[in-house]
Amino acid sequence: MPAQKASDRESIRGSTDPPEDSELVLRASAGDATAFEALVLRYETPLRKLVYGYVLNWEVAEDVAQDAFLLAFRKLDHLGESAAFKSWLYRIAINRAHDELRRSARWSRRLDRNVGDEALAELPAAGAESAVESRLLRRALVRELARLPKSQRTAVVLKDVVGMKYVEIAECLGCPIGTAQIRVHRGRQKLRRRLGEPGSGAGGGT
Amino acid sequence: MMREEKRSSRPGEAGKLDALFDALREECAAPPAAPGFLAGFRARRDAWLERQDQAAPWRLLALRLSPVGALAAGAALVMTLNSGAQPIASETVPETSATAEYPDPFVAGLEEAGVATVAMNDDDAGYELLAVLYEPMGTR
Repeated sequence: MPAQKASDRESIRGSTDPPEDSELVLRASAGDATAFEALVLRYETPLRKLVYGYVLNWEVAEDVAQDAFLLAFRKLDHLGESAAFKSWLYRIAINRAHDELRRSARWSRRLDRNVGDEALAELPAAGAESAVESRLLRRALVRELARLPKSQRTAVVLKDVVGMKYVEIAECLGCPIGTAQIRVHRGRQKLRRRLGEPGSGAGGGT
Repeated sequence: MMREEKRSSRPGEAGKLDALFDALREECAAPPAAPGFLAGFRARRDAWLERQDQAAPWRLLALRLSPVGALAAGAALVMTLNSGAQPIASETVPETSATAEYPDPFVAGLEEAGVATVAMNDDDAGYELLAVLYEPMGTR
């Protein structure tokens, strides 16, 4: 961990026993800026990972995550129960990530139409074929994720890209675990079908 | 739509979906460090707070005005601006005194909000309305 970040963390926490989210939220609501910054440090990495699951780009993920924190900071008064900060914050980030994903998907479609040789020329000669294939597949995934219904898209991203457990996904989505499992299953089925996976009855459809 | 479906149905793309998910999960498990994250958040927050400070006088004004007063003032402003945007031909304007009383609801709204009792000149309606709205901020 970089020295600057470590010192930030120390100066914000100021004690060995990290306070609960609910305590930090209460302090932040009362105007304690360092309390909210402690929450930022606590959830920075999980939030970047969450957003990365949608946009597949760390720089964009950092940008969107910062934006989500700012929105949470602005709307902190709207958080009824301070204990639920984590899932509330995640939902904010998910909504922002959805917006970004839609933008990325549009960009991807444009790129598919307009960019060919130029993009390929940037790739190294060795293993270029697999690199191109990987890049195309990622782009296709972003595009097809954007076409899934929001609930299924979220479930698939949280499970298959971010690597959350079903119980965490259910908490994040505010639904029963069984519902989360069904959404992941249906989302995966659609992705496989649309991406033409063998044995999945390829050919698109919804 | 059909074109996209055709393109995404290329053999070999989706057969590797699980492998792609595995690779993405690995990437997610080891995110790169983001040493400037907190500083970036602080910059965004401070910029937002600054914008809030600049907008504060208007928010104070909105708080001072009762809902009725705010509605009446808003309606009057829209009415005034609309009348300014679409001037009526001079021959159709009836002769009136230089100072015309605005409809009761508007004045009543402002009075109820404790802003002022106003009798506005038609010619300078927009400016006077703004002056009335601004006055409390400068004098209280």
